[in-house]
Amino acid sequence: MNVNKLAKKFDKLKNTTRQHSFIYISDDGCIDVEYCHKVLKFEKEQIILQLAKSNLKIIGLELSMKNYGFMNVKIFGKIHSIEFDDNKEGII
Amino acid sequence: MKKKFGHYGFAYVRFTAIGAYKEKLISSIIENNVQIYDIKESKGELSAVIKASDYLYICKSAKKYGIKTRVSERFGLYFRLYGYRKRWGLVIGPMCCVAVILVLSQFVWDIRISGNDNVSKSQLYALADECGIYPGAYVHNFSVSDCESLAMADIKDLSWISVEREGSRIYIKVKEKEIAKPVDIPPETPCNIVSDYDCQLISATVKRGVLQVKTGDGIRKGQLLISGTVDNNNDGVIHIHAEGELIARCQQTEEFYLPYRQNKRKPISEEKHSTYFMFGDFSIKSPFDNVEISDTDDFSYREEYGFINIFGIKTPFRYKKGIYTFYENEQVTYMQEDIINQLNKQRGAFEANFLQDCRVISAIPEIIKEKEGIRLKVTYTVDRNIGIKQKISLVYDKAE
Repeated sequence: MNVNKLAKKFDKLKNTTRQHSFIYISDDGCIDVEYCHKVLKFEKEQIILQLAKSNLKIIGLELSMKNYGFMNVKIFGKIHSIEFDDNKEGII
Repeated sequence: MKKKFGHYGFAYVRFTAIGAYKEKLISSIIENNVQIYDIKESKGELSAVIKASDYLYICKSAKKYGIKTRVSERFGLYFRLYGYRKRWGLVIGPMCCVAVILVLSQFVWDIRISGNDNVSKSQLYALADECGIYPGAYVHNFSVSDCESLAMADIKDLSWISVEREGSRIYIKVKEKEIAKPVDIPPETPCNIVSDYDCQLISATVKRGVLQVKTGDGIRKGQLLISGTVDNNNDGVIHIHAEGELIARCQQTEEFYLPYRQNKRKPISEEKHSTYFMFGDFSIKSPFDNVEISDTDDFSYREEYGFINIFGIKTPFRYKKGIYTFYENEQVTYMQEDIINQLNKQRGAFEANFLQDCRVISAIPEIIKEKEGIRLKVTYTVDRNIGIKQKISLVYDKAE
């Protein structure tokens, strides 16, 4: 197997098994989330992301999203609040 | 967002996705590191922007999750150009432009000469022409090094020449030899003054040295006039730089001769033209005017410039008209009066050129009529400055 491919796969595995996610809140208009495992809910007023340890609920208006790099997302819009939820029931 | 992708990207599409598991689709996209932008949700529909090349992957993933996708908008350079795919003029135009530039850059359009003073530009242009460098010449048909070598061999006054090509322009840079001025005898070098004419001395002013002749004496050419060897009472003989002003009366005879039958150069009434269209410094020869010149032809050439008129309207473009006037030689027999007039003209030219620095006391002309022509003999009596400096060569005996 190509060494580069092997390194990439290892990096991907490392990221998926990572125990921490990082959240950068620039202002009430932009949030960067690194190591977002899944998007659980995507609506205009609410986005729920599954992070390494918990779920992140972002509530706001006219929310939109883009990804950059592997498992990194950026959320735009008028953000009102963010919540953390350990309840894994929401995971689909 | 459209502006962002439409202006700078190559090919992007906005798609809409309808289905229950659209979050899974987004997760799958993020997990597989596919770039997706501007994900929005509106009335149960998901819309997002992706690269056109990734749309197939999105379709496959969407099908897996039971989601229906549809492209709602296309933008980017690729889709912008796609609309013009049948307009061949847009492609052919720039291609023709590039082709014209490429073709024209293969020819010489301008020759610039710098650094010449005594060597004329026409001489250098003629030499360049001989080497194949002329406006319109193909750049690969001549060698600049050969041209440099030929120029150095042909033009003796050159000490250096450089022929360079920059695009369609040829730069000829020259440096001329410095002409050595006749060296005067330095003031500290001992010298005599000797006569350069056969004459009679009428006045002498000696600044340094000893005058060897008296006023009124007849002098032969080469005779010592002022000596630089001076007898010093205490130290014996010393040598100095002789100086003085000597005026003498000289007599000289000049002869001018012209035959009755002469060859006269007469212009032929018909002139030939060659027209060039000027574009800035460039000139393109008109293909309609073709002047053929053989080596034996006797002709003169002059140029006239003017603006091109179209239906009486003056355009900013100029033309150059080269006019060739051809001459023929004709045998003419002149009258005596005409010959004498011509001889007097020759005499006037001689006096203006050669007797300018002298004071002419008398000029006695004598006309001698011969069988074939007339001879004018003029005896001049003039007062002029005489004397040239001659270095004193000293030879010392080693034994002393």
